[in-house]
Amino acid sequence: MPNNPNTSFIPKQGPVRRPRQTAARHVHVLSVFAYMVFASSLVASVGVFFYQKHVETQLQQQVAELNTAIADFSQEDMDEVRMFNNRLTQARERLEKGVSIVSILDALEASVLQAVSFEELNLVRADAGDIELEASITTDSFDSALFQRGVFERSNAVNSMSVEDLALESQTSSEEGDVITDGGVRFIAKIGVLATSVPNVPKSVMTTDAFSDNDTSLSSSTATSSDETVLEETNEVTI
Amino acid sequence: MIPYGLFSQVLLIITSVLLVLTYIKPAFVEISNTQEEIETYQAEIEKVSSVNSKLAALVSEYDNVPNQDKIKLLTYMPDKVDSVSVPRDLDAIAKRAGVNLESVSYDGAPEPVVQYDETGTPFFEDVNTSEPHTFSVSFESSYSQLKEVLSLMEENIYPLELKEMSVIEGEGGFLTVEMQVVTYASIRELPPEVVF
Repeated sequence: MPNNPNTSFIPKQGPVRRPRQTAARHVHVLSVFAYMVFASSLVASVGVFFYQKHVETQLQQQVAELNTAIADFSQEDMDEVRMFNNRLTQARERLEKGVSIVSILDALEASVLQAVSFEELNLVRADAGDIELEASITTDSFDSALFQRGVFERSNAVNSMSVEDLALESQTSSEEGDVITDGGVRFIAKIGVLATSVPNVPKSVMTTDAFSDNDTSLSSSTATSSDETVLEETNEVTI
Repeated sequence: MIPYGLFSQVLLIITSVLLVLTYIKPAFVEISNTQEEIETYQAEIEKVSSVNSKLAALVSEYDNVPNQDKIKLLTYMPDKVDSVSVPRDLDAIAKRAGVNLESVSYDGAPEPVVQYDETGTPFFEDVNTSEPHTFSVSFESSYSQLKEVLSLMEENIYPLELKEMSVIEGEGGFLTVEMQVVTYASIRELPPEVVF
């Protein structure tokens, strides 16, 4: 029997080292994803927190700016300017609607025939500014009445013209032979005059061609004569 | 059984999702709202600043108007009509034309027409228009004197507009004149029930 010292029914490990078993490192995708998501959400939360603070600060700044701007607004200044503007507008409106009654009378003077006489004159200014004249007129004949009506009708300034209550009146005398009323034609002339035809405007801008029907011209100029007057005017009406 | 590692990973993800849903998303909504508010405030600031700058320009323009012109304007269109000084001025005008007034009286101003909207709130449309005040004047004069009176009225420092006139020829060529003269106040007297 060979002499084998290594005889044992129990197997013995030899001197050869058994290879060391190293544990395999597994990189789990889910784990990486989970950490990334968590880290991102944390970063985002912090970012959102600070950005929100920044935006709120901006809002407060805007509110403060708006309050400052509102505080800078002066209601007194606004009222003062608005009142001045309102007064200026009203004054301009009155000046624009100004009508020269003297010009109308001048125009009537120049357009009335020698045989025509006024007994009564009523003048009414409508809300729009136009003028209605109602004149009680006597003439010596129908021809004069017709001619007078024609002169008025051909006038550019006259907007409307009508003759009413036309009547022929004979001469009446007393028993002693004194003339009580002259005979003739009596009528009422209703004349409408446009306000724009006879404006009452300052001298520097005055031009009027009202009643420009024939070649007779008439002008009236008025000068500032006292401390009560401020507007120097020339109202010209061409007949 | 779920291993500890997987459990923590799932927990992390769930925490993240909860964080997004409970804080980040609402915060974004709040930020968005705040930014909209900021834009609104910016727009309002621009408007108010624009008004302020326009007002400043107007005030500057107003300040540049000479005081003399301001006084003239205030005289031409006063806040209120003095029912004593106007007849005095009419009398002065008549005297300057060589006419003695027979009568002059103050007829007042028309009542403002108050209207009501659907809610019953009273309002007055013509609040910015001037208020007419009427005076009745009568006198006897020659034709030339009448024209002089009218001429002086047209030259007056405040408007004396002829509203109505009646001229009747009397004895001796003298004319009997009755007229209604209107002058204006800038501020309307409103009834107390009108609230603006």
